[in-house]
Amino acid sequence: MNNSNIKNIIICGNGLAGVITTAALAKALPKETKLTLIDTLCTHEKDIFYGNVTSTSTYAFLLSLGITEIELLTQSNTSFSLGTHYLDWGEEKNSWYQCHHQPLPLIQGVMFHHYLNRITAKFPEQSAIGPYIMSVCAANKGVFAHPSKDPKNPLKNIEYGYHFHPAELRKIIGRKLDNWDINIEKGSIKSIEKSNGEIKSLTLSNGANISGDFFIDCTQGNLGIYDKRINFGHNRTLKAVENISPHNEIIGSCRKVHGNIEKWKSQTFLQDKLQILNISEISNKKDNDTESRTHHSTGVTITTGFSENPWINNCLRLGHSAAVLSPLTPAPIMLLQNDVKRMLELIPISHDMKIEAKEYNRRFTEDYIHASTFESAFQPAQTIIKKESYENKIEELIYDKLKNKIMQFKSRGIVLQYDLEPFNNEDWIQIHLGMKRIPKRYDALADRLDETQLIETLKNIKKNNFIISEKIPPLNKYITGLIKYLRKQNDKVQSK
Amino acid sequence: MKIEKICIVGGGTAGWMSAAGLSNKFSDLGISIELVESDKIGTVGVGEATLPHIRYFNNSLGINEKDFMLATRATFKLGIEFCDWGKIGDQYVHPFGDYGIPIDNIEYHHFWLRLLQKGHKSRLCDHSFPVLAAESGKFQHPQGDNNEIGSNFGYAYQFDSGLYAKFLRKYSEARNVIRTEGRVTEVLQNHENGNITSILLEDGSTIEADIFIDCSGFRGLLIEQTLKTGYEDWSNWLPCNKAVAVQCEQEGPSLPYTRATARTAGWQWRIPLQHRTGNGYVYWDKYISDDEATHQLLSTLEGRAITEPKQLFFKTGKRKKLWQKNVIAIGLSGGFMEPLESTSIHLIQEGITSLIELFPDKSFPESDIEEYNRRMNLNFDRVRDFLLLHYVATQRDDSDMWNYFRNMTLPSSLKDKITAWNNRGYLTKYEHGVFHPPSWLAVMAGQNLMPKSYDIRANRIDYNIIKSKLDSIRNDNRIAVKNTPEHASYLQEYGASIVK
Ligand SMILES: Cc1cc2nc3c(=O)[nH]c(=O)nc-3n(C[C@H](O)[C@H](O)[C@H](O)COP(=O)(O)OP(=O)(O)OC[C@H]3O[C@@H](n4cnc5c(N)ncnc54)[C@H](O)[C@@H]3O)c2cc1C
Repeated sequence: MNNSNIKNIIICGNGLAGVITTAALAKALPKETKLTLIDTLCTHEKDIFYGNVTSTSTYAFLLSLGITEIELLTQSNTSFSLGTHYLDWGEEKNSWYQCHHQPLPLIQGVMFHHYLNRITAKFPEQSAIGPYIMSVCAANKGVFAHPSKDPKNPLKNIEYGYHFHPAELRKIIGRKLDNWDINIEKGSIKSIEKSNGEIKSLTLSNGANISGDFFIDCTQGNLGIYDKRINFGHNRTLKAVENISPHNEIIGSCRKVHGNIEKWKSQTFLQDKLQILNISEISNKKDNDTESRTHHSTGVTITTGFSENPWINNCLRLGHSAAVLSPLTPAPIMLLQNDVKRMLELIPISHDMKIEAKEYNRRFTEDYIHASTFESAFQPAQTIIKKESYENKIEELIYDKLKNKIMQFKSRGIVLQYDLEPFNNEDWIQIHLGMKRIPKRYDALADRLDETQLIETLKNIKKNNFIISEKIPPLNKYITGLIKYLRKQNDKVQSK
Repeated sequence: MKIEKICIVGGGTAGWMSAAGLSNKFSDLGISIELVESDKIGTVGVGEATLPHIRYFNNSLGINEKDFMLATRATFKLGIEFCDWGKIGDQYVHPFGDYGIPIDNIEYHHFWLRLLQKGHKSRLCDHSFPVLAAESGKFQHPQGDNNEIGSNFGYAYQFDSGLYAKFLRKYSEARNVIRTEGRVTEVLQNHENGNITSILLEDGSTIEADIFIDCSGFRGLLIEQTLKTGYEDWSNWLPCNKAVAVQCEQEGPSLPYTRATARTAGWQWRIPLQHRTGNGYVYWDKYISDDEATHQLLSTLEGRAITEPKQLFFKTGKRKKLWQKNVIAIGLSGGFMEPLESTSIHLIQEGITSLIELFPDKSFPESDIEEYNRRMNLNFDRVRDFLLLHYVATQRDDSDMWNYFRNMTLPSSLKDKITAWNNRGYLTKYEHGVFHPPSWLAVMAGQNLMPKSYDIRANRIDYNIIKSKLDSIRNDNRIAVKNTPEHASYLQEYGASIVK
């Protein structure tokens, strides 16, 4: 009972992308479809570029793979994340919190930030946005609590992601695959058998010949059969140096990032450890090559960018084989999740996969353009300028979108949104204000609210956020308490 | 510098909706609004069916639903019934709402397709409460819980647009909008920047303003006749170019849906209000004469005609820029697409909402204009594709018009959508636009585009479980409809009916 001719799916590479893809397919497909995961015997050190913070969608995503929050907390050192605190960022030394939260309140149909703009001259002390955002207040104190269902409680506005380590996340998912008895082949790829541009089978170093109908390339490099990743003008080679240390008792509910877009350092609080990640851009210029080789001998390097055609014929590249984004924002893991969801919606049903590939590639490209646009927004204004010519139309598109977004915000506080962007209004408002892109005008309708009433409303929001952030526990206490509680619940259920 | 004076040219639906929307937001901010209209010229006088979004518009104006319905003789609208579109004899309703609810994050219709392909046939329509309610002439407001059958649907209205304009006029005048009667005979522009500075009326008086809203109807008095903005002609895609409209008496109780019946050279609408029914035939004059069209319309009326047939001409398309210099075109002056999915009033509303959000100052920043045009273009383009879908998702070949559509090269945005559906029941999504996947599903499935396959993930769940789940949804729908009151009596009970 199957409407599909695709009976055999091969996932190549068991890094983070590979295990997530396999788990997602195992959960979604009918039992008749056979899955084979190939462990290509590579190290997974480049997984570090999936970063260390997730977006708010990760809870539901992991649940769809069969991983509950309690498993995540007890079987790995994952902890909660309210966002990122960018400190002394760039030449302008901007500092701001970039936190997950529900939309800020509309007041009389007008977006909240217009009111702050309205009062900024007269009441500068009331005009910073942070104190009005519950998750920023909590992040500032290093405290945490789950979102509240009580509509009167400011905690209802909190949203959260996770601080995680890619290697640990990979392990948890890997264990699931073991439990589910997924067929895993071990061996590096020796040869690829093709006919008419389609992959027929792979021969592995262990001698096995693995044939399949649909191949998903989750290797770090590339199955190497189709176009290599296109090199954009703005492609950058990044080097990551990681340092893990046991942390002293204070752990924060918000990642800290210092530096500038070329060289930055993040501190991420995992349950038992502090991860320090140094990311630096290595100059791409040829003549610097020898120098960089000698000076940058430690660490892992990778080149950012993305393909426009990750899916060709019966091979889909997913993960780093198709795209690499900088871990400056939660984008790498967010988009990996999106890739998997998009793949699930388009699992091919016959050997003619042109339609699926076209739609996947279209949505993929839009997603990565939008994520890259968001990352580009961390650049100082003076470097966001139109080049005389672009080698690549994608690069130009990213520039145009960013330019329009900045222009709209700076001219009158409009948050311009394109279709189905991964980053939402709240993300954009925070980064614009954080980067000191202050609107020249505000929405004229913001003038309709009486001034004393406005100030009163603002003060109340601030006060309530403050009171709550004083009440809730530091993140580590919260997690210990939560685990204890959930274990007890679990024991109770089992003894029954 | 702040805008101090707005002038609206035109007092049709677009003009008075603009006046109401703008005065509600700006009248207490020191901005004065004047609307000019000419009784001699009159309005287009059609446009009676709406989309659910109009409720947000009315709500934001603080309008009470009952007052509004009484004043405009409005009925509730659950969707549009399409007859003879896929082939002659076909019927389906495009409702305002989803079919079923996703199962394991997989869209409901894949399960429906799975059963269908296994021979367990059911109409997609039977999986939708608003469709069944419409078909049995029943209505009640969505009840509290959004997840329950009988509550997760949208509704709109069918009303007398002339009365709606009157209603909004009263509303606007109470908010200090000045109404001036008179014909605009001349338009004056600033020599340097081409902005319009003032308009002259027949009686010699002048109206100066900082910003002009062109609601003058098809002629586009300011946007086109003065500013020469240019028109993007879409008549190769939507070639119908004429309509004849007539009102008739209502036989039987008023129904909570609009009907659109496909004809050999166009299509015919039937819109039931409380006290009468609006009818019209939209056609392509290449394939039918005006007389013949009028004859066909009159011979298919369900009640006695109470007005003279009114002839209308148009060219589908949109103004190249809806905002140009200090003029914003809202309504027919901005563009026109046939009322197959009741989109014109909605596009008026989008125009007003966007204008309020992007309301400029006297410098008219290019960024405001660009953003407005970007948004409105997207709205128009996406409506166009959706309308065109109705004509091309068909097996009809019984006339030259249908053959024209069968041989047409589609915009690629539309072609890809249809291909992905045909191949695997996949619905392409976007965020900004009126019509979302359930609407596309309604039309494609309703006009017999049946996908070769469906999302394979729908096979993971046991066939019998799916079957009983879908059966029970159909059953629940039927029961819910049984417990829903008749539309006409509900209207009375609710206190919104002029018919007691
Ligand atoms: C056949 C047909 C059916 C339709 N059905 C629907 C439908 O079901 N649902 C829907 O949403 N929409 C429908 N529409 C569209 C709808 O009718 C219009 O969008 C709506 O009526 C708005 O029209 P308007 O106000 O832009 O123009 P009009 O109604 O034409 O108003 C123009 C105004 O400008 C004034 N004016 C013009 N020139 C001058 C001048 N020189 N001096 C002074 N005043 C001037 C006129 O007096 C008038 O007040 C339909 C349209 C047509 C043609």
